[in-house]
Parts: sequence; structure tokens; C-alpha cells
Amino acid sequence: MEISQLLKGVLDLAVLAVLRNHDGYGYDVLRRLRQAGLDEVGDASVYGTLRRLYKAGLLTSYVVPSEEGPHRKYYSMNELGRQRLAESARTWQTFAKTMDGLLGEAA
Amino acid sequence: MTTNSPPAVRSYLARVRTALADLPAAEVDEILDDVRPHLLEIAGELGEDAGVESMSERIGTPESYAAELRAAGDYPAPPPPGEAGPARRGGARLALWTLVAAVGALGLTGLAVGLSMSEEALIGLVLVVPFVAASAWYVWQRGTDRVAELPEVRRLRAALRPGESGRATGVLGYLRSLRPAWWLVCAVFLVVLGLLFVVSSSGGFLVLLLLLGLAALVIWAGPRSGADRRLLWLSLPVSAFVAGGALGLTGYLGEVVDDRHSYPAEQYPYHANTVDGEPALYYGEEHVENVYAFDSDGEALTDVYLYGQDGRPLVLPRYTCEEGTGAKARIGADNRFPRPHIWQGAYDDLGRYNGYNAYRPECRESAEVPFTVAIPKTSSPKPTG
Repeated sequence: MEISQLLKGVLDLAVLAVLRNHDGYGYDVLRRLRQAGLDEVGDASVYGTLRRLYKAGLLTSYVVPSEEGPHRKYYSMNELGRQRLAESARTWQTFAKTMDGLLGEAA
Repeated sequence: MTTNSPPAVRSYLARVRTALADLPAAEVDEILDDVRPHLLEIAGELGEDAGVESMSERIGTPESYAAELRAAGDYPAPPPPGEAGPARRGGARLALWTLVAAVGALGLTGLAVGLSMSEEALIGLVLVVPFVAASAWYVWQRGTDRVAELPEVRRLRAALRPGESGRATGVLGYLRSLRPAWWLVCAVFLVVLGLLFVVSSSGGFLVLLLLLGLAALVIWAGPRSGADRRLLWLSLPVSAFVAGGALGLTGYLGEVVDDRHSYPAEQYPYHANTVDGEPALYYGEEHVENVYAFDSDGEALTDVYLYGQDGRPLVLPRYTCEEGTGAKARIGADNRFPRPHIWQGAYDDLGRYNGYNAYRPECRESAEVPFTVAIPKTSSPKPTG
């Protein structure tokens, strides 16, 4: 099964997770996801997801001027974002356990 | 935005921007702010080879990049290629706004028809119908897809899309469930309006035929317009006409009822009473304050008592000069005529009556008749047999 198919459903959760402890600008978020092992994640998908979470009020943003290049827009999670992350994490864990159980039987 | 971006990055971003051109400009700016550092990084890695082609090999073409962004960001789908040109949108936009204008105009026409219940007001209908027909013909031929893809329509649909606000969705859903009843209400109203015209005016029969036609149209087109959006060009204008007409007719009926209530007041006009609230005497429009009677020789009669045809005394208020003030004062009411004539004026210090500087009020009563009459000598014709 293609990981990119699976990612569609959980990209929100993944993006929120990498912003949990540290704010980051778009490329930061992408790099953190890649470093965590999600090589398949599409660049543009991450940026689109960031905008969607921002529009949904789960993230706030602020601009940091940069000396060597264009300014960088950082995203940080707000209280609503943390709540959503907690809920989604619970949902995912339940789902993952169920799938494990199912696959354990099948194997 | 930034002067030090390499040309490759700038042209790549420009193509992404073009592909997202239908989104709000501020939102596109935000997106590009997120993307730019990443593109700079890639361009830096590519070094000398940096160009839109080489970047496209790494991350896809700007257009596919934009499409991925759109999908992940939950932005509306792009307008179909070839449709984006403003010229090709012209017809659809004209059809849409003609419909909007016609709905407004027919609402007002309905209001005017209902308020006045006159056939002249129906001229509005005749004026608007050709425009509605032309725009309905356009969507009938070309379908409503082009209209649905107009940015203004997509924005409206996005605003009405269920999910965002639960309560608004509930209200909309409820209104939607009322639609079948509304078409029936429209048809019934149009028939009733037509019958009212038949009752109230001579040319009403033609109006009834016209309105029966509209009623049949709305019964046919209304329920189908949910599935076939082209029929909205028929059902919406008729709905607007009915809504305006119902409002107007309510006002009209309210006025008729008001008229009924005020009818007795018109039968007994307010000037039939004196300022004292007692009946006044009128000769045509003229208010009669005094009556002089003469005998057949032209001699004035005094102390004549007047009665009406049913023996009721014709009582009028009686006035006299008030001593000291020189004012005219009421001393009672009776049916004895003629009354003394009351002169009211003033003197000045030199004893001149009604002069420029007169200030001492003067009131005089005179029993004299202020005119003489000549009674015709012919004897009144005797009634025969």
C-alpha cells in the first residue's frame, strides 16, 4: 500500500505533531516531517495543510525578518490546535490498535 | 516581493501564482510566503543549473505544485481551462445578473400590482419578461455550468456550504424542505390574484389568462428546478413576483378595510357641526349663521321660529356682546330668527372707528336687517287638481 495514500488522512495530525514543541516556518515543518521518516510527503501538500490548519484557527503565524533572505513566516500552535492534536492523537491510537489487532489475526 | 530571489524562483512562483489566480490575492501571497524559502533552498542546491525546468524535475511543474497545494489546503477547484477568459464568462455573467435584476424588478412589479390592483402596473411584467426570456434561453442552450463556475457564484455556494455553521445549515435545510409547498402557494396566489382582477376590472379576464399561464409555469418548473438548474430562470422570477404581489396585496386589503372603517365619517363630514359641537345650518357649501324672513310685501318678520320637516327645531347658538370686553359671547341656543346682527370693531383715541390706531374694542348689536329685498308680485301658482 502506498504511504502517500495513508498520509492523506493523517497529514493534519503529523503537521500538528511537529509543531507541538517548536514553532516553525513552512520549510521547517517539511524538514521535520522528512527527518521523522515521512519521506513520501509532498512539499506542496505540507504548505496547503499548513494554510488549512491556519484558516481553521488551529495555528497562529508571525513573521521573522531574515538577514540573508526573504522574511520567514513562522507557525505556532494555539490552544485550539493543542486540543485538536490531543483528540486526533487519541483517534489515531485507537485506530492503529484496531488495525494492529486485525493484522495480527490475519498474519 | 523580494529583490534577491533568483530568476528561476521568481518565474516558478509567478507560474504558481497564475495557477492560483482565482483565489483571493492576500491568500495567494500567504501561500507564496510559505513556499518561497523552500524554493530558494532548492535553487541554492541546484546552483548554476537552477531554472524552472530543473526545479520542475525536483518538485513538479508549478501547475502541478499549485494543484497539490489546492487539494491539501481545501481550496476550491480551479476554473476549467479555456473558461477562464473574461470574454467567455461574459454571457454567463450577463445571464446571471439579468436573472438577479429581473428577480428584483419582478418583486417590485408584484408589489405595485398588489398595492394598486391595476392593469397598468402589469406593464412592468411585460418590460421585464423579454430580458428574463433572453437569459433563460441562454442558459437553456448552454447549460448552467458556466454560470455555476462564475467566481461570484462559487463564493456564494462556498458561503452556503453545509458543515461550517450548523444552525445556518439547519435553517437552509428547513427552507429547502418547504419548497414543494411554496410552488403550490405561488400557483394558488396567482390564480386568486387573477380572479380578483376579473372581479375588479373590465379587462381582468386577459389578466386572469396571463396569471393562469404563470401559475401553470411555476407548477411545472418549480419542482423541477431543484434538479435542472436552468429552470431557476423561470421559477425564481415568478417567485419574486408572487412574493412582491403578496406583500402588496396585504397592503391593498389593509387599505380597503381602513376605507370601510372611515366610510361613516365621510357621510357626516366634520363641518356639519359648529365649533360647539352642535349641528350647523348649511345652504350648499355656505354656512348659514342667521336667517331673515320677509312677508309677501317685503316686510321683515321678527321672532320667527324655524323647524325642520320632521318638526325638529333648527337650533343655532345665540351670541351677544359681552359687556366690558367688547367680545362676542355665546348666551345660549334657540331657533328664533333673525338674530341681532353683531358688529365688532375698535376705536382709537380720537374716536375714529376701525382706524389704523384703533385699540379699544367695540361691540354693537343691531336688530336692523342689513339689506332689503324685493319680493316678486306675481302670485304663486296654485296647484291644480
